[in-house]
Amino acid sequence: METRDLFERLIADEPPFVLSTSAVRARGERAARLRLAYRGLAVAAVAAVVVTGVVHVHGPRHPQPAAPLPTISALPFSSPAQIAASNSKVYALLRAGAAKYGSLIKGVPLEEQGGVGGGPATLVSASVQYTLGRNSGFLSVVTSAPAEYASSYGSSFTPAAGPCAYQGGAKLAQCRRTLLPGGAVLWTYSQSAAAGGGGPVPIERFALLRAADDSVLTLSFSVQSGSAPGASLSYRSLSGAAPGDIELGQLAVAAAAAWQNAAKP
Amino acid sequence: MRRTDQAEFEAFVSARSPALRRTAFLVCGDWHQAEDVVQNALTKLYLAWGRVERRDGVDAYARQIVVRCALDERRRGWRRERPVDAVPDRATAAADESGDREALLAALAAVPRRQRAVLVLRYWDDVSVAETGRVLGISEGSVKSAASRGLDNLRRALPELTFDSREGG
Repeated sequence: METRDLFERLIADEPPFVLSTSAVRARGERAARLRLAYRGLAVAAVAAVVVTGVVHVHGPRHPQPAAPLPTISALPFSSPAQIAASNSKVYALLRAGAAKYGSLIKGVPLEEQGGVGGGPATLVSASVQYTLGRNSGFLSVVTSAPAEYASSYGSSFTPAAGPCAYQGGAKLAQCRRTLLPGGAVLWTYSQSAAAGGGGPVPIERFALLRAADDSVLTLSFSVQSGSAPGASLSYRSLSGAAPGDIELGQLAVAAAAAWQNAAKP
Repeated sequence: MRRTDQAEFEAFVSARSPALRRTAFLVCGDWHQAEDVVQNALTKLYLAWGRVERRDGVDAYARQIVVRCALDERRRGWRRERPVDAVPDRATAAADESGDREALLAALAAVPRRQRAVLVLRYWDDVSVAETGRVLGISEGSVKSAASRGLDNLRRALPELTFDSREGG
């Protein structure tokens, strides 16, 4: 048996795929428009950095959290109890973060996924959905152990290059890197995206923190259009209701510190 | 995007999205996820169409986005979930076959995702070692070792099946 035979057997029950090309095109157009809108927000964020006099540590200009930065050396995954305790601290921060922008619609405190090859959890996530005008904003945190990181990104994801290089082909917008105390690195970047099911997700903004031990915390913000028939994204509603680079970076650092501190005996 | 570009983009979507979905499915192991991955990838492709169109290999570029989206999909969490109203019935006659596929799927899931992506690119999409490395952002040596380790993991997960010993690089 060749590997190809195995693959052919796996796709033998392929369900029908109904994809509207015009819907794909419309989603692309909306992503392009929203990317422009979000670019405006990012410019405003950079302007805020200049006004507040915050400086960056390394690399291209990048907003730096104003408070003293904690040292993030590791995001432990030592036991189910510790993972749950750390994740609950992160979830509390996420809820508080979302509350600055809108009313909570739904929260998922803990999603746990098995590790590589079905082993213990190496990746957990927590998410909140909040009102954003007629739409929804999502804040999600995914925390992963070093083994998960190695499986997902392999050797291409180095402290120097990070997601900016990993996604080289599908170029990320505004990818910026900041060195944190103790060897951790923080990147912020955006991706245009679209999801099926619940509706289009035309833009996503990320803050990815890699601790010194190669564990990773990824905080993402995204917008989902309202569920009412014919509802469309209101770009103006993003202003002031969406976290920019600074806020996402600060929240990611705070979440990583909370995870780490909750793991201490 | 110009009208001619849009027509070309739509033609590409019609022609290639089923194959892209199969690739995404083999990497992420779920048809719904695969569909989301392809929709995401096509949106990204739309945004990049002006740049990509002028060079050869739109297909390779699309495959690259799909594979990377599929590798990233696990990190997106709950909001990608898609509830269904009812669990579909399965024909009894197809149960054995379906059970076989479940076992094969579980075996493939036991292979770390990056190794799985290498196997899919090399042995399903017939992509060269060099191109696989470019898609995943890793060296050719890493592709070969990931393919070899991936096949080892498959053999361990499916000891009753023998894989062609010529494969592995």
